Amino acid sequence: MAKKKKDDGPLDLDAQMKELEKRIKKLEKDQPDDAIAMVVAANSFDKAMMPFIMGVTAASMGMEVHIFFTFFGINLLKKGYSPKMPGMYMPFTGMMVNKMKTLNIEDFQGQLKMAKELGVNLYACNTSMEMMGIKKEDLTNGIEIVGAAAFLDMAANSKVQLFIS
Amino acid sequence: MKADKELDAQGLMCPMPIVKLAKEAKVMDEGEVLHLIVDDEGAKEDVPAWCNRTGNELIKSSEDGGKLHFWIKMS
Repeated sequence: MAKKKKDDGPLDLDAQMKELEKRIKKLEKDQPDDAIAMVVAANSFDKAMMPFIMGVTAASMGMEVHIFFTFFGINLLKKGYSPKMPGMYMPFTGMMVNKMKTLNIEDFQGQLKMAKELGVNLYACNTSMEMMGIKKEDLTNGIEIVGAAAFLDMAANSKVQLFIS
Repeated sequence: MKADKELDAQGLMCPMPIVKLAKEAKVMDEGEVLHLIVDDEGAKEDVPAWCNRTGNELIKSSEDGGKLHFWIKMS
């Protein structure tokens, strides 16, 4: 004969309600923020522009934006940096910049400025800085230096995560 | 259609019309209507997506030639 289960007793609605409330609270707390987290690991022109265009758009849509720059990507945060087209396309960088100008698209430094104005959070990976020999004073202002764990914490709480390398 | 403000974002490409729209929305009052004019084709889907995301109401949209018109009620 099957053993009588504990919860087979009379329904305790109050207790059940309390239990449900507790579980809903936990779910709400675990719900990711309306945020986007991006990792940028490259410094070429194409890979530099995309996260900024995406970030600026997301910020305009009311989302919180976190961009973490690591490995070669860290170069993008150097004061006045202008990224070049990748590999054999490098000689065409000027052409691309001019083309963008005729299309009314902000250049890289313009994108960076706009991102800062819109409250996009920009993070430099401290280990990458050491590896690349980049010092805090080499970086443009408004950059927070963090480790991987701090970024992952933000990423885990974001609905969207992108990796650009 | 009557609007409280007009924003001409012609000649701008994605995502600039959205960035300008968001900036304008910040300074407008609840219930006010913005008339947005763009010629970037991406805006056709982008503007409704922005409205959906931000909770502002797209009350009307139309197209004439290459021009897209949107009327957005701010919330």
